[in-house]
Amino acid sequence: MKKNFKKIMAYIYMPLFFSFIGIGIVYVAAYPLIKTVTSAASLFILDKEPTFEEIGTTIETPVNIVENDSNTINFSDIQLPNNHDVIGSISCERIGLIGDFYYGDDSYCLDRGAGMYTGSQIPGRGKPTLIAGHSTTVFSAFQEAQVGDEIIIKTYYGEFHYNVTDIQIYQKDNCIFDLEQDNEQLIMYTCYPFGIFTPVDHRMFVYAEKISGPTIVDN
Amino acid sequence: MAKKKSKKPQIISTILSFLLAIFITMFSYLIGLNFGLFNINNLVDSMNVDFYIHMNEYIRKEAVNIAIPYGVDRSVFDNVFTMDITSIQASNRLRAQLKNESYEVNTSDVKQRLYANIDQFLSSKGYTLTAEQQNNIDSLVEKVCEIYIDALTIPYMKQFARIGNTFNKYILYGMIIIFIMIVLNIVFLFLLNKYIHKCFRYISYATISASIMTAFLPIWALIDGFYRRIYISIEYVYTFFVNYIRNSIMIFVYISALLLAISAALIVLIWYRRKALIAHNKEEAHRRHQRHIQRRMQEEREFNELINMQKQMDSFNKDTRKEFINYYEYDDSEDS
Repeated sequence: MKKNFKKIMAYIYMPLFFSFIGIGIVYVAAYPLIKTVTSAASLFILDKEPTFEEIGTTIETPVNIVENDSNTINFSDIQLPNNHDVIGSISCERIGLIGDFYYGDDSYCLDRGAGMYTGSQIPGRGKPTLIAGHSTTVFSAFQEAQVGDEIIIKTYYGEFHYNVTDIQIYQKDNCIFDLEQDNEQLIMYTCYPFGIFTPVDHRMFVYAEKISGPTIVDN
Repeated sequence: MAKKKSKKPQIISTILSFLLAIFITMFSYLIGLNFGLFNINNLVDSMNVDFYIHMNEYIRKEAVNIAIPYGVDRSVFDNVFTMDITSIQASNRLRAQLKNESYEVNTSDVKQRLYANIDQFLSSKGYTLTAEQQNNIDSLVEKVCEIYIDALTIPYMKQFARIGNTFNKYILYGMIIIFIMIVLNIVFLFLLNKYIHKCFRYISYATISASIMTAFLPIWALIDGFYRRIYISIEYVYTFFVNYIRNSIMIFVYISALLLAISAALIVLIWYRRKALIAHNKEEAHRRHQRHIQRRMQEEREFNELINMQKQMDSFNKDTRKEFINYYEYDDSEDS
């Protein structure tokens, strides 16, 4: 009985022993190769599975900002937006401009509305905000834009009013704007001229200065 | 005193069994790679209907995106990219990539349908275009065709083809060499061991071990799921790669299961052989015992016969002696 039990257990421990030794030998012998392969693989393997849904979120207005009566907002009270988030709306009643205002200026954002360049500042920070839009969709209304038009940007942390001060047309490779200036300015641009299948060698820039709206301060 | 059994055959058989396990594992991996990961037909067959549907959707989405600045409606792309032509072109392109050949994607159908749709759109809006605008239509159509060709080109295929072709060149030689080693190994096991069931036992250790070693890496890959975290930005290509890699990994799991089944069959065979051998040995021992008993009985009979003869001889001599004595004590004067 004992001999039979030993024989049966041999079918378990012998293969396990072989496997352990075999895998150990291969691991030790091929360790430099394994290390090289895993290093190379880490270049195109992410930490988690990729998600392909590009849906951005609409950021809700935080309670503490709504209750704040002064015209300043603490920067720490604001939830910073992520790429593709809807941070508000942009409109100009006179020319019929109305559309969603996105954080980001890639094709996802511009297909759906106006998108701000993430290298510029959000409205209220005292620096320029660069906003792009297609001339065939949301910014097609700029065909009728004039100096003096009022642009309204409603965000989840406040409403901003701007006055159009200048409209310029530039070659697409020779655009002029300064994002470092200490002046809260709205710089909106789109392809020029307007119309379908028109050549898009130029850009129309609409500059607007801030009239009213909260100021974001650092703590 | 009984002769002490040498442990040498056992040790050598164990070493041969271990080597056999290594060879069978290597053979399994070569088969798995040959019929799984580096099988071109498998790769092309993985591009199923869903793959082409998603590919078409992706092409249309990208085309619509680049057409927005041109001011055209997305309806101009309706029925431009058809499943049947896309699937034929995509599979031909993939085969050409894997064989390192060139294949030019035919975009004439796409251009024809797109131009027709654009003309229809313009006439419905009552637009008349200038020469420059007409050039922009050509530029849009060219960009759409570029998107179409790019979408039909699966990324990383050239690199994959290079590795696969190198592998396929040498795999046959590798498989033959390893197969010969396996056969030699088994032959040596049979020569070393008197009983067949003992040889099968060492072979079954090897096959069970090979099953474990073959399944170890694939099961770890399936559990860890590193292949699901591969960075591919286009969803349908990502899905294609993930499914293909998973199917290739599963082939190793099937091979491991087959080895386990072979091991189980060997164990059953060993049990039956051992039972038959024990029964045969019992019978043989009984027969030998019977022969021994018969021989002993025969010997005893012969011995008893000898004893009787001896006794007879002894008794015979005494009487003879008496007769002789009586005979030689007869008076000769009675005769004269």
